[in-house]
Amino acid sequence: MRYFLRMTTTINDIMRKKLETIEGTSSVQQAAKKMKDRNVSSLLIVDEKGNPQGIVSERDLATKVCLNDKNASAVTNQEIMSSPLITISSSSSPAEAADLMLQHNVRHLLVVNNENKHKPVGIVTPLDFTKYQQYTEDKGKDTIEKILEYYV
Amino acid sequence: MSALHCSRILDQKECLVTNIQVMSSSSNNMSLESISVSSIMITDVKTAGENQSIQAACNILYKNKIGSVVIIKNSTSENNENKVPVGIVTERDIVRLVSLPDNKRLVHEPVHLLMRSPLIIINPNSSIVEAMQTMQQKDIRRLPVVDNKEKLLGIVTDKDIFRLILKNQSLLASSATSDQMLVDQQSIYGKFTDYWLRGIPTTP
Repeated sequence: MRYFLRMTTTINDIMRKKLETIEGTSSVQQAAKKMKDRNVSSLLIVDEKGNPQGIVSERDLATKVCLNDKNASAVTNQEIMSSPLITISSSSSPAEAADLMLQHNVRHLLVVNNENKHKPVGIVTPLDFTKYQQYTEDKGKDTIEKILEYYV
Repeated sequence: MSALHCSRILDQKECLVTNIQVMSSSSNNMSLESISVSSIMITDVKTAGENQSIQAACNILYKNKIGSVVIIKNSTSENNENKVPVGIVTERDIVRLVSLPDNKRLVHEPVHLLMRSPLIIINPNSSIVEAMQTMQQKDIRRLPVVDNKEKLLGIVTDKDIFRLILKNQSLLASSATSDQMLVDQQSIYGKFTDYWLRGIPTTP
């Protein structure tokens, strides 16, 4: 029985559990420093109460900051973050995540606790789909292929 | 693919059984060892000259919605002829720059100051397995494909390899032909999964 239970891959298996946050009012320079120090590729942007507002990824920093001749200490995370935040339950399948990404045209999904939808537990990106191959036998294979084609 | 997946999830005994089942159900002779890097590489590689600014490199990332740009030796020519790659700049390198206090000034510096060099490359005739091994050993996700005359031919990424495996699931199984092979293969794919699991490597 354990064998069969384990054969179903969920978002919980492939998501990044290292969830680093930073306030929306702090600078993108601080965000870049945090990403570098904590070795993560995205940060969850929160308000002063800790509520999730958006996501800032390496790509946001690489493309939205360097192209405008502004000092990174003068740009806030709120200005460049991707929002609204699209969330997915940790018990969902990788194919459902891929579907959501395509539907909303985003590369990052905030993973929330299955029981408590307000509790962020991780982040999932298209790159994470390469972690497991077992679900390639699922019917969601086409969607995952598509997401790898366009988003990674 | 179960050969890869079970090596992490199931215990040794179950894993072996699954592998043998997969092996015996496989009928084609293609394997990851027999497919060359050149057959799956992307030939339209986005490049920047080593003396172009970091900002120009960022613009290339932005315009093409890509994560890396290959830096070529003293050349601004747009055609693929005579492109000698000398380094690579990824989004992570740009993040490193954004984290520095004088980033506004630094974006106008030549990109060769930021690029990662020496460049780790692969020969077009190498196999997919060799590419996977190099990526795993060097902790990288992208390998520029370069011929014997140092000319840039293309780039192969972990995503391209994953997509190939996704489309041809028999590849992993059919490459294992004996017990010894099975063990060797498993360690490579296991390591490659570990590498995927750890995510994007840190910039030194």
